[in-house]
Amino acid sequence: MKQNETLADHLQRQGISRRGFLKFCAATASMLALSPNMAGAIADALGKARRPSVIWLSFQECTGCTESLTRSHSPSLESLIFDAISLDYHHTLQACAGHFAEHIREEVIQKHPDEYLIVVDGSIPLKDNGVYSTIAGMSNLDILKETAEHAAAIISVGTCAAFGGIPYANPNPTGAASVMDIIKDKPIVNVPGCPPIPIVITGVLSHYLTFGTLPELDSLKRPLSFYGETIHDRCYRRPFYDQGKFAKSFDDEGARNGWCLYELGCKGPTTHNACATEKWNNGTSFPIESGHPCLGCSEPDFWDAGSFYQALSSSPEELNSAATGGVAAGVIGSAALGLSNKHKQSNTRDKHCKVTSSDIESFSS
Amino acid sequence: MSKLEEIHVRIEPFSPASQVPAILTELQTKLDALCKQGVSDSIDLRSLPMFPGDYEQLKAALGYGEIQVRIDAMGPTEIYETALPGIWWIRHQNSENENIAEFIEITALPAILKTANDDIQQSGQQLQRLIDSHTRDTLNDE
Ligand code: SF4
Ligand code: SF4
Repeated sequence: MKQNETLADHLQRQGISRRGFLKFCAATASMLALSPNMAGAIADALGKARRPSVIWLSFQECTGCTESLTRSHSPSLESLIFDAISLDYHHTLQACAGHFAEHIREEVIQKHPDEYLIVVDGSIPLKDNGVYSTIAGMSNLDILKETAEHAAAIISVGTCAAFGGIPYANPNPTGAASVMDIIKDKPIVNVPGCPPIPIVITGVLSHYLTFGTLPELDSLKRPLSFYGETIHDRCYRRPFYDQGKFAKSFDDEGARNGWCLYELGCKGPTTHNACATEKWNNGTSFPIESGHPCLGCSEPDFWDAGSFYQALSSSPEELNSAATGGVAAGVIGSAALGLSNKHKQSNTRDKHCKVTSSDIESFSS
Repeated sequence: MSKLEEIHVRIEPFSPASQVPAILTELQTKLDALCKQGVSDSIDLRSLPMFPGDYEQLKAALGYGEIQVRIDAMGPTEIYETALPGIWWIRHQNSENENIAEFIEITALPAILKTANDDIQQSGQQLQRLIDSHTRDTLNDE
């Protein structure tokens, strides 16, 4: 796509018809959890959108977040939105290397001050002057600060960039910190998940393209349209939870009947993410549908919050009343649930217990 | 997802946690609004927490009506009116036949079927060019 072209011009040049575009917009509306009736308005706005420059910075990470996005099958919604931005700098994807690559980053900062977006994956090591991760002789911290200074906004992709993630896990040997721990004066959107669902990454980008603003966020800076509800709120096994029907091991009758996985350690009740509706692998399913509990990967400290296979420490009844309170009292209720989660998580952290292979075996009686 | 669909899965006829009755009731409310106030509406099927088998049950319950349309634009879109007039089932797929969105629309005619004004204008110009070239050919023949 040429720099000054609108998205509508670009699609038309590629031979995509108006109906094709409308269909793309209907899918975008669905992705952003907007009413499907908004497709027309989205088509108008997206049609006029111009292509923003994006600098993608990869710090202490495993490249899983990039994989999540680029492995989603093409030609998909993701690839179309990706086409609609100008991805000027990305270690893993760019062809050039060394000085030339760094030069491009500097050029974007100079040419489009206060207009470009930064996407970050990975946490930033602060200990020992940041020696644990450097690029072109610069520490991650220096690169982040230099690039952020003139950015319009930062999107922290993945739990590492959003909350520190796995590098941050106890004992945090590199002094890993999240983007929002460091940058305080720029709009930041957190898109946590280990990895995040590809469509959630592109959802934030398409919101920016469509409305020219960042989406509405929760207290942890996560877009409400994807993280507004918990896995448990949208889980198809929820009726079993409400009826008190739980699988007790991975191969008992309850597991075969598709009962709730709460007692097998499901973190769905305290985890805000869109897996239950957006699903994984191009909409095939999500972990609970495959019979495995949610690990809580989109929440801070998920790695240190006790064993993945240990039930949350509050009883289903307690959680139920907090959750129903949340529905009735809106944000206040969910904030209360969040607080009690924090308390629970630090409780489990104090009693930090490692899971062993025999623990897992004991579940499959 | 064509490969996945080749794996035959037996769908239990009855799921104890079925969402189908709730969806049917929602359709009833929306159909009522279409009848009385002429307001079209839709349900985004991706946002519903459905139990395995609910989707098939819902499809079977609504059945097929008289109209079935296929649109070829960035991959196939299948649209059909269900056995209940005014309730349409719309499935958008990409060019690899993967679902990208699926809706039930409660409307007299889904918006995507209507031809846009700009397209009608363009087709007028195209038609003029066709007429011109045919007239030229006929004149040359003489
Ligand atoms: S506890 Fe887990 S499996 Fe059970 S209903 Fe909640 S999210 Fe679903
Ligand atoms: S189901 Fe839970 S652990 Fe799995 S990806 Fe979703 S939020 Fe993360």
